[in-house]
Amino acid sequence: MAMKEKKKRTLRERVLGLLLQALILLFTIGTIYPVLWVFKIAFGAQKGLSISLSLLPAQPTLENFNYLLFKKPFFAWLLNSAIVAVATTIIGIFLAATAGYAFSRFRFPGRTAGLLSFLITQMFPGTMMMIPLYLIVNWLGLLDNLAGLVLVYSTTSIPFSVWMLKGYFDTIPKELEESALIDGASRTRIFYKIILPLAKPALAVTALFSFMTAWNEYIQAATFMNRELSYTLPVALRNFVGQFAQDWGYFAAGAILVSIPIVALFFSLQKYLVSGLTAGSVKG
Amino acid sequence: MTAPRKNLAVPGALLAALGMVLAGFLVLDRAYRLERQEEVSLAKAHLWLRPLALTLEGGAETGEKLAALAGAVRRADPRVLELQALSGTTFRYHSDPRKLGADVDPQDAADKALYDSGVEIRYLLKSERRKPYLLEFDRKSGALKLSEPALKGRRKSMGTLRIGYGLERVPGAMDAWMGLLFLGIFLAFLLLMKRLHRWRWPLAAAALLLALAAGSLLLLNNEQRNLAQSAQAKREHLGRVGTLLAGQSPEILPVFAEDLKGGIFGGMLGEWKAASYVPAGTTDETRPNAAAERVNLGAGGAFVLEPDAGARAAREGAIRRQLRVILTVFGLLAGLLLFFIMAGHALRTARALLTYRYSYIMIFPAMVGMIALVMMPFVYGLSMGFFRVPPSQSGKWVFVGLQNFVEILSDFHPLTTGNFYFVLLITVMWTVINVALHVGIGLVLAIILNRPDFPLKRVYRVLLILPWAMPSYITALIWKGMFHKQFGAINAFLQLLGAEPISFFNNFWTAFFANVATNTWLGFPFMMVISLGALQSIPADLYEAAQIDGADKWQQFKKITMPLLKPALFPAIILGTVWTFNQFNVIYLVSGGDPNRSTDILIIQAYRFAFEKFNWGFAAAYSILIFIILVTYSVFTNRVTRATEGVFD
Repeated sequence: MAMKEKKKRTLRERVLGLLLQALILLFTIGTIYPVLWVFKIAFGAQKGLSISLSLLPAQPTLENFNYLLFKKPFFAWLLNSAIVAVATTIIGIFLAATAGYAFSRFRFPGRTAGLLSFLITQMFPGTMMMIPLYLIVNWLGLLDNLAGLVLVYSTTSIPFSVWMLKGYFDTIPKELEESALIDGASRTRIFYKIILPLAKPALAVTALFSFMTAWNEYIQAATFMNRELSYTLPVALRNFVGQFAQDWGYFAAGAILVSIPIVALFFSLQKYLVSGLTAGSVKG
Repeated sequence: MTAPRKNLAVPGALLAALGMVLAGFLVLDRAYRLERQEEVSLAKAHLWLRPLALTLEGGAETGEKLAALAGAVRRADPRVLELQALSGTTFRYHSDPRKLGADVDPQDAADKALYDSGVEIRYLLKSERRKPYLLEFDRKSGALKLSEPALKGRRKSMGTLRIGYGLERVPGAMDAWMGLLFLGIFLAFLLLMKRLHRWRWPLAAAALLLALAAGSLLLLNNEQRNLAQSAQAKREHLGRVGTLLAGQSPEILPVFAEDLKGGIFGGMLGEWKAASYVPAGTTDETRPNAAAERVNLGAGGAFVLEPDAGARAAREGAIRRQLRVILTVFGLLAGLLLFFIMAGHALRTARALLTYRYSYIMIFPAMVGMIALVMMPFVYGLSMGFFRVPPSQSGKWVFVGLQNFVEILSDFHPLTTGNFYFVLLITVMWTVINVALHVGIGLVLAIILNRPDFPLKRVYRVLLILPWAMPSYITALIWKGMFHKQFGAINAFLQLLGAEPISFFNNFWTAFFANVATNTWLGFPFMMVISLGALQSIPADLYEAAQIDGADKWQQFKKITMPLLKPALFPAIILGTVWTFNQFNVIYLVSGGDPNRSTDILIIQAYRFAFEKFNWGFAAAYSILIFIILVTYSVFTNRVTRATEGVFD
């Protein structure tokens, strides 16, 4: 009797497992279809879109890439985007790590207010900030200048980073630092030699998000950058399928080139994603 | 145990200070209003007196005319309490009929007073330093008494006229409004002080500043209204006087008009720099300039008055200067008070800064960046909502108070593009649907991929995170292409199924669907990763124990999985809601608001007001409303779900 029941259950489980597999497979296909579709357009000959559902281009060609790479200032745009993203990441991480550590470890007057103010900034509608930011960046003389974008992006990414790192630092046991303090290590030394190495997953994820913020941002870059040579990639790519052009082929080729580094980075840091993102918030 | 009493004493003192400031403004407002009222009464009395004086100047043969005119004046305006015209030592008119035609009686105090004022006015005329009229206020009877000379030649007095004019009562409507406003500030201060005990000093400073600002603004506003009203009252009165003259002695009208602004009484009316009389039947309108005002005298013609813009501006400037002095004095006093109270706090703050210097140094750079580039622009944007802002940096901001908000919130017509309530409805619908789909799909995928024996789960996990890794503007544009009517993959698929191709962006629901599909694709991986992380941190022995106790899968899910997912999921949901509510890229790039702006959400509307219609004040007000909605939502859900519980410990 018991044997039979167990067998029945495994059968049911197996059917369920197969169903689930089919579901996930279908869902995954649906998910990556648009990505593959971009590949088709990028390698296709037509400048516009293609009508067929098939994912293989009718006449494969590298014409779109050729045009984008060598007939347009693609490398200038790439350099702009890279400079902005790397600078944003470094500044953002440095500031957020120190602030996050202080918020996590020390109890000082103004701590709650500070944490709350960082949280509330997440609710500011971006449009309300854009006019004043534009005026400030202009006042600093940083319009059409990458430094202006770095400033703006850093402040966008810092609040989120502070909260995430603070959450992660909370999970690192205090005893480690206490014993180091007793051994005579300075606070600064503890921070750099003990805390930061332990917080590698969270740092990696935070860096990733900071990088993504800067690499992917479109609206502010479009507002602050007016010369074609100072465009970042999003602004440049958007112009291919904007009001005055419908060059889907160039756009798709550009999309692939833009996405490859960020997707590679994303997947290389993927193992940290789950732990870095959730360790701080799961307290159950 | 003594702590509560001590805590009450200081706020009490502060409240008293606040009350004094507010009461000061009330008194000031009343004083301004009384002054304006007196000015009007004075002008009215003066306007009655001048034609009489002019008639008197005509000589002895005009005695009857003067009496007739004075009688008409007294009948026309019940506020004319008494009226005397003295020529030499003889009364040419007296409101007391017994004295008409009599000489001044040195035994009668009133007569003597009038005679003495005549002497004084003659002296004033000669000295040329002061205006040749005398003014007394009789507070008891509520009347002002004005004495003016009748002249022969340029500066030779040949008579004295006196009028007793009843002051008009001051309506008190604005007092009530101001009182209510101040009461509001007061109550808010009290309430907040009770709730936010730790912030009572900054709060007190803020309340004082607010009271000062509100008081001055109201004062200024009232004063401007009073000025306008007094000008209007004077103009109307001039019309009455003119009409009466047109009936009684029309020949005096041109002289009267000359006399209005010129001569020795220049400046008495304050509003106009020139006046002229246009007889009835004159079709030719010789207006000195466009601002000239016309006062019609029924059938008797009209006065044309040329407003003195400079004088008006000067008067307003004077008020502003007075206010600035008041503000400075009060502000200094309030600041001093706060300084003394806070000196102790400052000491404590300094000590705290020193004690916790390490923490502050570590936070300082991030904080400075935030204040300079987030808080400052935020406050700037916030204040912009209360102004009409021209879309250039040199333009002048015009303070409009709450007008922007009123305009946004009072438009209930559901079909106006950009109607706040309609867009809000769309936004809420958009947010709820998206977050539900994100969480639902993410959670289901996480649960499936967390099954220990699920084949290829690493591969799936990598592939399913792809949408998150892709730049969102690229995603949005790809999906816009996918929904393209002729070349989009979605329509190709539909045609494969035998359906007609749909132009997605011509219909609200299909356009909305396209946006939701894009954003769902973009957003579910985040929720999936969060759920996966939380699921992995649940110890497996919990399930084993539950299995031994005979709990089935559903019970395990309900009793173990869900409660342990909550702490990770709730903050993620709150964050996801805020992000979706402010999701700009997807809607702007996919449907672009098509058809006809109907798929716009609030943030896009705000963007359009700012950068397409260049109505910056309006856009800022719109953004403030979004911000209020989001903060309210977050605070509320935080209370209910306790999502951030323990975070601040």
